[in-house]
Amino acid sequence: MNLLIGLVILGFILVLALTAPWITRYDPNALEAPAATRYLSPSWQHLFGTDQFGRDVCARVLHGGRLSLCIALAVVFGAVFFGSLYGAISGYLGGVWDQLLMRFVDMLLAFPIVFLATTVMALFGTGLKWLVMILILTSWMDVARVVRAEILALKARPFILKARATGLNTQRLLFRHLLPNTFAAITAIAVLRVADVILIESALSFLGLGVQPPTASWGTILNDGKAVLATAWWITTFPGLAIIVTVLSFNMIGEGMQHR
Amino acid sequence: MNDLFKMNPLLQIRGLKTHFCKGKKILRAVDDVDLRIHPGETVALVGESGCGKTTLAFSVFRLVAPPGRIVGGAIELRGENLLALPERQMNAVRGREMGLIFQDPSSALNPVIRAGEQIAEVIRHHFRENRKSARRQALALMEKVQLPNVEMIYDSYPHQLSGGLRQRVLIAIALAGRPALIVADEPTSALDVSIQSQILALLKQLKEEFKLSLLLITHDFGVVAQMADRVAVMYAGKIVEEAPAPALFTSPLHPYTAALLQAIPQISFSNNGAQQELKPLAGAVPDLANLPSGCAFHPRCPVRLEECSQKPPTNFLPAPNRIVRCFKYEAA
Repeated sequence: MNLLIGLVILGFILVLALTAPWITRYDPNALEAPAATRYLSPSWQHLFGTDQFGRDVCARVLHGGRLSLCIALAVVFGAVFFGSLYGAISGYLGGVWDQLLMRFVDMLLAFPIVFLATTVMALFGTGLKWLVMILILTSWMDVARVVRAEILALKARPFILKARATGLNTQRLLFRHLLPNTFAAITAIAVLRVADVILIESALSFLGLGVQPPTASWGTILNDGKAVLATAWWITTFPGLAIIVTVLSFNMIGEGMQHR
Repeated sequence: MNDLFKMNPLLQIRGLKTHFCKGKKILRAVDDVDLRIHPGETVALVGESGCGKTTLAFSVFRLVAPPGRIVGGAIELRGENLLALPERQMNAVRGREMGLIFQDPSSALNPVIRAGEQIAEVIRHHFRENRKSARRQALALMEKVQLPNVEMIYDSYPHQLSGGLRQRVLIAIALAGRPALIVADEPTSALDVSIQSQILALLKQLKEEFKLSLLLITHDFGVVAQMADRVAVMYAGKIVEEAPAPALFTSPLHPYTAALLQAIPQISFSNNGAQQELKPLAGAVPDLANLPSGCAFHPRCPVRLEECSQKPPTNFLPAPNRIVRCFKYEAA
C-alpha cells in the first residue's frame, strides 16, 4: 500500500519536474524584474507568489525540483556504486579485514557533514561537481553496511558453497553470485538514500554551501525566503512542502520495498 | 573387492582432524579419520545427524567455514596432499578433480542465475570455453543427467524447477568439470521417495559412464545397500567401522553398527502377520564439545567392557578388509 501511494506521488512529482519548462512560462532565474512584481502573494497569475526579485516561486520550485532530483539521483548512483563495492569486498573478505574496513565506515559516519562540506568548499570552490562529490562521500556508508550484512549472510548459503566447490574464482563469486543476490536490498536502501540526499542537499544549499544563487534548488529558494518568513510566507512554504512530499514518497517506496 | 585394495587409492584421508573452536570449547567434528576411496569405487559414509559426516565432506574440499579448521592429518588426491596446496591451486582442484553434490537442491542453486548457465559457467571456468561451446556442452551434460526439454530448463530459473529436476541440474554442475571423484552429501534426503530411487539409479549409471569414484554421505542404509561397495560408519567424529558393504550388512562388528541395522524398519510380513520388532537405539548422539571419556559410544553401548570408559579404542583388524574401533575385537 505504502509502495503504491509512494510511487503515485513520486510519479506525479517526476512528471512535474520533467515538464517544468512547459508548465510555467516564467523564467525561474530572471533577475531584472520591475519592482512592482516583487513579493506578490499567491494569485492565479503567480500560483506560489513571487520573491524579492519578482521571480515566480512556482517556476523556481519546479525548476529547482529538477536540479534537486538530478543531484539526488546522481549522488545515490555514485553512493550505490562505491558503497556496494566496498561492502561486498568487506563482507567477502570477512575477519580482520572486514573489521578494519567497517571501523573506517563508522569513522566516516561520525564525521559531521556540514563541517566536511565547508572545508571542501573552502578548499576547492563551490561547483556542482564538488557538491555531488561531498554528498557521495557522505552517503555511501549506509549502502556499504547493508551490502556487507547481506554478503555475510549469503556467504553461508548452500548455493555459494556450491559455487565455491566448483572452483569458481573470486571475481565470479563476488560479481556473479553474491552481488546480484543483494540487488533487492540495494534498491531498498538506495531509495531511502535519495530522500536523505534531498534533505542534505537542501540543508547545504540553504546554508549557502550547496547550489549557489541565483540557480534555483529547493534549498536556495528556502534560503531566499528565510529573511522574510513573516511577511512573504509563500517563498519558503512551497519549496518546503515540495521537499516534504518528495522525501515522504521516497521513504514510503523504500519502506514498502523492505516489507515485501 | 580384494583387487581394489591393491590399487593406489584415488583419495586417501589420513588422520584428518577438523575442529571447531568456540572460546575454550573444542568441538571435534572430525577426529582422526582415515578413509580410502579407490578409482571406480563407491564408499558410503554412514552415521546419525551431527556425527561429522558433512564436515568431513567439506574438509575434503577445504571449505570448512570458520570457526571450523582442519587442524591435522592429510587428504591425498592421487598421492598429492591437498592440505599442503596453496589456495589458488586448491581452487583448481575444486570442481575439476572432484565435484560436490549437495543435500538440499532447493537451496544449492543460485536463485538469480538461470539453471543452465550455472552448469555452463563451470565448463567455461575450467576449460576456458567460449559462451556458445560451453552452452552446447552444458546441454549435452543435461541430456546425460536425463533432464527433459533441456533447452527450456537451461533458460529456467531454479525456482521454476521441481526438486528432482534441480537435483539433476546440481549433478550436472558437479560433473561439469569432468572430475574423477564425486562427493555426494545426502543427495536424496530432501527428495520424494519416488524421485530418490531415480536419482540413485542415475548416479549409479553416471558413475559407470564417467568412471567416477563416489563418496556417498548418507544416514539411509537403503541407499547404502543399493549403491555402496564399501561402508564406513561414523560416530561422534570418528569412523568406528569400515567394511565391504555385503559383509557389513550380514555381520556388523561394531555394536553401534549392529544397533543401527536393527533400527531399520523391514517390510516383511511373516505368516501370522506379525512384524519384526524395531529396536530403537537408546540415547542420543553425544555433544561433540563434551564427549564421554574413552569410547564415545560407551554410554549407549549394550556390550560395553570395563576399559571402554577409560581409554579410547584404536583400530582393530579382526578379519581381512575389516576395520573396527572397539575393544571387543582387541584379542582378535
